[in-house]
Amino acid sequence: MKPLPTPVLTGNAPVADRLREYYQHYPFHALQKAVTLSPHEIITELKASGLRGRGGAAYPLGRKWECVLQQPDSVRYMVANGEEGEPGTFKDRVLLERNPLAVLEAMIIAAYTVRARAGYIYLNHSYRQIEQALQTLLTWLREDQRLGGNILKRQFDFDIQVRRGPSRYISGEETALFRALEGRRAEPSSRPPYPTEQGLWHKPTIINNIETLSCVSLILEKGSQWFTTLGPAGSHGPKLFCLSGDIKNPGVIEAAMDASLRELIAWAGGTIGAFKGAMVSGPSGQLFLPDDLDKPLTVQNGCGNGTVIVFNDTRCAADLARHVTDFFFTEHCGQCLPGRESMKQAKALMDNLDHQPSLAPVHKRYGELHTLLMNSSKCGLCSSGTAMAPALMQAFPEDFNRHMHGGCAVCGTLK
Amino acid sequence: MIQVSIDGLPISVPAGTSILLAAQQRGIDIPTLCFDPLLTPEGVCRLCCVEIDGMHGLVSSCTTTVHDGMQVHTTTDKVRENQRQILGMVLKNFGTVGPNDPAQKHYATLSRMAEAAGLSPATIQTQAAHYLTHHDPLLAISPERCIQCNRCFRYCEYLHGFHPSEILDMGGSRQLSFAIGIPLAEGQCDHCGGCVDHCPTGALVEKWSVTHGPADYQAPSICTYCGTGCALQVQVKDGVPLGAHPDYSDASVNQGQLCVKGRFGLDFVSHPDRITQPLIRGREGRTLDCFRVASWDEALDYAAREFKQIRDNDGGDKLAVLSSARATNEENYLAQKLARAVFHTNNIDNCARICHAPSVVGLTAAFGSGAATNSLDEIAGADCILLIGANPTEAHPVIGHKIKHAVLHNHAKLVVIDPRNIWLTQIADQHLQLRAGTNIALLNGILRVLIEENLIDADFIAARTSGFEATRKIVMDHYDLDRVQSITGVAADDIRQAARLYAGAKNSMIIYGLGITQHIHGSSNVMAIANLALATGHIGRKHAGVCPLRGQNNVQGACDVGALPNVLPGYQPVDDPAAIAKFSQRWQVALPTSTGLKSCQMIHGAKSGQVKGLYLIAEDPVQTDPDSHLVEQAMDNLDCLVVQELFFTRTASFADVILPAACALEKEGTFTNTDRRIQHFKPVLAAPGECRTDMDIICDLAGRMGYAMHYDGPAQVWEELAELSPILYGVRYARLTAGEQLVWPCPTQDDRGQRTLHENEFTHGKGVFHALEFEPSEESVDTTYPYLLTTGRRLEHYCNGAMTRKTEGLMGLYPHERIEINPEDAEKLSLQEEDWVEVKSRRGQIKVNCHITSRCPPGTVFMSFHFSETPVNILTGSYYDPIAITPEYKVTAVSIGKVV
Repeated sequence: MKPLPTPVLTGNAPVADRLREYYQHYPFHALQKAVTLSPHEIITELKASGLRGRGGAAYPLGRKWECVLQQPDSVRYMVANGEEGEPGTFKDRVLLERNPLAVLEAMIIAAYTVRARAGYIYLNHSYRQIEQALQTLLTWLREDQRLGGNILKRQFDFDIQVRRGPSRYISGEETALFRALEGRRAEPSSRPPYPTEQGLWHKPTIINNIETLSCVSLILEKGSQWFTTLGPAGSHGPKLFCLSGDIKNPGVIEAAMDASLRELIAWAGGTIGAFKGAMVSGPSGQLFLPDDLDKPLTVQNGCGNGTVIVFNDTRCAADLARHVTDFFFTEHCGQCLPGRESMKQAKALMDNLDHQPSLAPVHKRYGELHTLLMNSSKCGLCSSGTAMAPALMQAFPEDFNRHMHGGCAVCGTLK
Repeated sequence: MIQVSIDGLPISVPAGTSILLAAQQRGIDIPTLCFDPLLTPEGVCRLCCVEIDGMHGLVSSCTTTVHDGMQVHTTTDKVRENQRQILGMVLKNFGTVGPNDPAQKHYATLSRMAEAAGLSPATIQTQAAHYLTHHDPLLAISPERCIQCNRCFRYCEYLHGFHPSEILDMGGSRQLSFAIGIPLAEGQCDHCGGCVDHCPTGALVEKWSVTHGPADYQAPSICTYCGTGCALQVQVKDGVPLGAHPDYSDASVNQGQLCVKGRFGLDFVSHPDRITQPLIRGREGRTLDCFRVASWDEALDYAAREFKQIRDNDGGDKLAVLSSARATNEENYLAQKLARAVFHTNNIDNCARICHAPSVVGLTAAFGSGAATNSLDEIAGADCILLIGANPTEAHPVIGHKIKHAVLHNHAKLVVIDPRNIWLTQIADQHLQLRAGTNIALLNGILRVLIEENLIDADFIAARTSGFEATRKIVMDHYDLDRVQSITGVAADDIRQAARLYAGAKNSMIIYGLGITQHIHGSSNVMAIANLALATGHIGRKHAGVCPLRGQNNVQGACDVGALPNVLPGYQPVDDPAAIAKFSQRWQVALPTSTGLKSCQMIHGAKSGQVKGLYLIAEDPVQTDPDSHLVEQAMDNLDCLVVQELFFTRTASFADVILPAACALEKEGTFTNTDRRIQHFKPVLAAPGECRTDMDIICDLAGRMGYAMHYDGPAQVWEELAELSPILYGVRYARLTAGEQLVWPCPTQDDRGQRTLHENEFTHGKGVFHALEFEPSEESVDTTYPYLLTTGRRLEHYCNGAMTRKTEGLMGLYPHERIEINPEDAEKLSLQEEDWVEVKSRRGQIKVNCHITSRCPPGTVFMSFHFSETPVNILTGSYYDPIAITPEYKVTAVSIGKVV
C-alpha cells in the first residue's frame, strides 16, 4: 500500500517518508526577513517582543544577543540547549519532532546577527531519531546555501553540528554544557565571566533553549507587535506547558502565561483524585498548593520552564521529598565543596527520616543547607534542588510526622 | 586603575585583579582553601565568598574580578555564616586530631579560620580519619580530608606538565583517583613532593608523617645531593631527620621546590650502617669484619705515622689526597692545605676531575673563567635553551623544573642534543639525536649553518672575540652538513632548524652536562659550545650564556678553594711565584710549585707504585671511576690507604684505616653550587657515635704530622681562605649569616658578587674561538662488541647509591639497576623485560637485568652506576681527555647476551 498523495492527517509535518516535503514547504520567512535587517535592527525587534528564555531562567533574549554582539572578541558561537533534563519536561522534544526547522532557522538568524562562526545543538541522549532527522535537514540546508559558506550570499559563514549527550542533568547547566562540547568533564565553570563573554571555548556564546529559539522565528516572521499581544506584560508570547503526574491527560498544552494552574489542569482533563499540590517548573521549581491554583503562571509567579507535575492526596509528601532529594543527589556534579557536602547531608536527612525524633530540626538543617547553597554554591543546581523538600515539609508536616512516629501507611513503612 | 571599596576601605587596583587579591593588597585577609597563588582560581571551596552590593547571594572573591565602584563586604553575618558552614563541613570530615597526626599544622590553620568566623572546632562531632599508605612508596592520602580542590595535581601539571591523578565519577562518589587508592599514573610523577606542599588540609602528606608523626622541629640546611644547591628545612623527630621541606624564600635557588632525593633521601643520616667508630684493618679481606674498632688516637697516629714515613723517605709526591666534592669549602681548603703544607705535594684533586674538569679547562680557555656564566634564575627568561648532554629532570630536577617553566609557561624554545629520548625531548622543539661521541662534528655543523646563513653576530665577533678566522676556516673546509650528517646520524635539516632557533632567539642559554665533558674530547667539546655562544653573541647578558650543570653539592666549591693539582685557592696557579709567596707566607711553610697528579693519574700511580699513600675523603673510586678492575688493583697496591667515610663502601673495603665522618647535617660550613652561590649552613643535629667532622679530622692529622692546624670553627677557616683568594675576598661569614646572597667573583665586601659574567669584557679580555676537529672515540664498536654503552644517572638515586639506597621509598621506586635496551635490539637478542643479560667489554663483564625501552636508539644501551651489585664501571675504560684527564664514561663498546 502506497502513501497517500495528499496527506490529510500529517499535513506538512516532518514525518519519516515526507521529510523532504516538510523541508520544501517550509517558507523560511523569518530568515528571509532577518537577512534584510541589520543585526541592530534584529536585536531591537527581539527586545521589543519581550521574549524571555524558556529553559527556566527567563532571561530577556534580546539583551543576551545584544551582549554577545557587543563583545570585542570576533569569534562567537551559537548553542541550542536541548538537554531537557528537568523531570517532567518534554516540550523541546515535541518542538524538535514537529517543527525542527524553526529551531535551525533561528540559529542561522542568531549567527547572522552576531556573526557566530559555528553552532551546536546539544540533544538529550535519548533523542536519537531527532538527531537523525536534524542531520538530514542540515544536509539540505547546506545544499541550498542556507548553511556553510556565504549563506544566502550575505557573506557570512556558519554551520551547525548536532551532539547527543553525554547526558546528565548537569549538562543542561550552560557552562557544564560547554565543557561537555569541549570534551571535558561536564561540570559548571565559574561565573562571572558569563557565557555571553566567555562561553564555548571561552568565546562569547549565545545559548538558548529550544522553545525560545522557536519563538525567535515566530517573532521575525510575524513581528514583535504580534508577539506582545499574547500573554501579559513581562510574560509575552505562547508558552508550552508540560502537564504530568496525577493528571488525566498528560502532555503539552500551548497557552499564554496568564493561564492559571487551575485552568491548565482543567484543560488537561483534570486531576486524578484530589489535588494536593504541584511542582511548577519541575522539582527544581516551586511548590504550588491549593491556595495557589488561581495564580497566573507568569514569569514573575514562577512559571519557569512551564513544567507542571501534579500530585494528589494519595501521595506522601515525605516520599516526594525523598525522591526529589535522591534525584538531585544523584545528578549533582560534586565539584564544589558546599554542593557535595550539602547533598550528602540532605540525603542522609531524608534517608534517616524514620529515625528522627521530630521534624523541626530536620527542616531547620535542610533549610540551612539550602541557604548555604543559595549563597555560595558554584552553580544553581543544588540550590534549586534543595528548595522543594523544605517547602514540602512546611506545607505537609503531618506526612513527615507520620514517618517519624509509627510509620507511614501511604508509603507502607508501618512500624 | 579600578576603584573599589572593601569593608569601607578604598582600594585602587589594575583591571583584571580579583577581589581576593585586591583585599590581600590592602591587608584584608579573606579565608581560602582551594585558592593557589600559582594556579588559575577554580572557585570550588566557596570559602572566600563575600557580599557585594547589588549582587544577590555571595560572590566568590578568588574568581571574580573587580569593577569600578564595587562595594565589597567581607565580614557580614551572611559571609561569616557561609564560612562557618563550609569550615564546619571540612572540620567534620577532618576527623579527630591526635598528638601524632600528620596534619597538625593544617588543623591549626583550619581551626584559626573557624574561630575567626565564630565557629568553635571543639563543638564539631567527628570520628577518626585514616590515610591510605600502600599505593605509593613515599606519599599517603586521607580521602576524608581531601576537599577535592585538586591544588595538588593542578600544581603538578603547572610545574611538570604531568597528569598523575584524575577526577573520577561524580556527585557523592566524585574523588581523586589517588584518594581512592589508585596509584599515580606511571611515568607521571617525580615524587618531588610539591603536591604535598600545596595541599590545604594535610590530606596529601609524606608517608613519614603518617608513620612517625610530624617533626619535633625543623632546621635549615643546604641539600647534600646535587649541585643545584636547594635550601631545605630539615624535619627532625626524636633526633632523626625524617626528610625535608623546601625553603620558600625568593633568594633561594629552589624557591619552594625540591626533588625526591632532597625531600625524602635523608634516611642515610641515622641508618644503622653508619660507621661511627674508627676502624683499623685486622686482616686481609674485603668485608667489614676484617677491621677492628680502634680509638681516634690509635687510628690517627697510625695514619700520621704511615704518611710521615712515606713523605720523609720517598718524598711528598708519593702521597696524594683525594678530597671530597661533598665536603664543605672549609674542609676542602684544609684538605689542600694538608696536601701542600703537610704532605708537601700538589697531588690534591677532587671528583670534578671525572666530571666537569673539561668545563673548567674549556670555559677558562674560551672566556677566562671556568664556571657557569649566568645565574640559574635567568633560565626562566631565556627565549631559547640549547640543552646538550644533560638530563636535568633526573640529575638536577629543580633545574629541570626551571627549564620546564621556561618552555611550558614562557614560550621558550628548547633544542635537546642527546643520544637518548630523555624526558625533555617531549616538550622540545628539536631533538638532535646524535651518536654518542660525535659532539664536535655536530657543534661544528651548527656553527657552519650559522656562518652560511649569516646568523652570526659579526659586530660582537669583531669587538669582543679573537680567533674566529681559524675556526671559520676549519668549519667551512671540513664540516659540510652531509659529512656532519654521516658522522652524527642527525639529518642536515634538523641541524639547520636547531641553529636557526638558537641564533634567532633574543636570548639563548646553553645548558650542558656530562654528555659533553665525559669524553676524550671533553675540553674541546666545551670549547665548541663556547664557539656557538661567541659566534652569536649569546653571552655576557642576562638570560644568555653557557651553564654547566655541576654534579655534586660542593664540586664547584672544592675547585674554588683549591682542591686541584694545578691551582691554589681562588684558581691561583701553583707555578705563579706571587701566589706561592703569598700562601707560603701565610702558612709559614715552603710550598711545591709543580703541577700535581690528577685523580685518574693518582689511581694509575697507585697501581704503578708512583703513589704509595692515599688520603681519600668521601669518595668511592672503585665504584665510580672507570675501569674498576684497574682501580681495585691500584687500591690493593697502596702502602697506606686512609678512607674517611659515612659508610663501608667498596673503596673503604680496601682501606687500612677507616675514619668515621660527620655528614652535612651534622656540621657547619658552606657549599658553593653550580651558579657560584656560596651558601652557609649550620648543624641540624649531632653526629652519631664517635664521628667527627672532616675539618676536625684533617686538623688533627696535620697536627700529628707536625704541622699545627688550630681553628675555632669553620668561620675562622673561611676567613683565612677569603683573605687569600681575590675572587672570594668579599664573601665573609658575617655577611652570609646575615642572609646576604653572595656569588663569586666577589672581590670586595661592598657588593654581592657578579651573577652574570662577561658583560662588558670577558674575564681574560676577549672571548677566544677554538678551531676544533672531530676525532672518533678511541673505544669503538666492532663485531665483537657491537653495542655502544653510555652511562649516567637516575632520578631516585645518587652517585654510588650509598646514601639513597638507605631510603626504603627510593628503593621502592627504583629497586635495582637495569640496562636500557631498544626494542629492536631486544628482539634480536630474544630478550624479554627484566631478563638477565651478560654485558661484556674489553675490560670485564657484569650481569644485569634489562629494561626494554625506546628511550635508547637502536645500537645504544644505557646504565647507571648507582648499584654496587651491577658495577658498570668494570666495563668502562681508561680513555681520557688529554688536557683535563677526564674519562670517557659516555662511550664504551659492549657485547650483550641473554643469560640462559
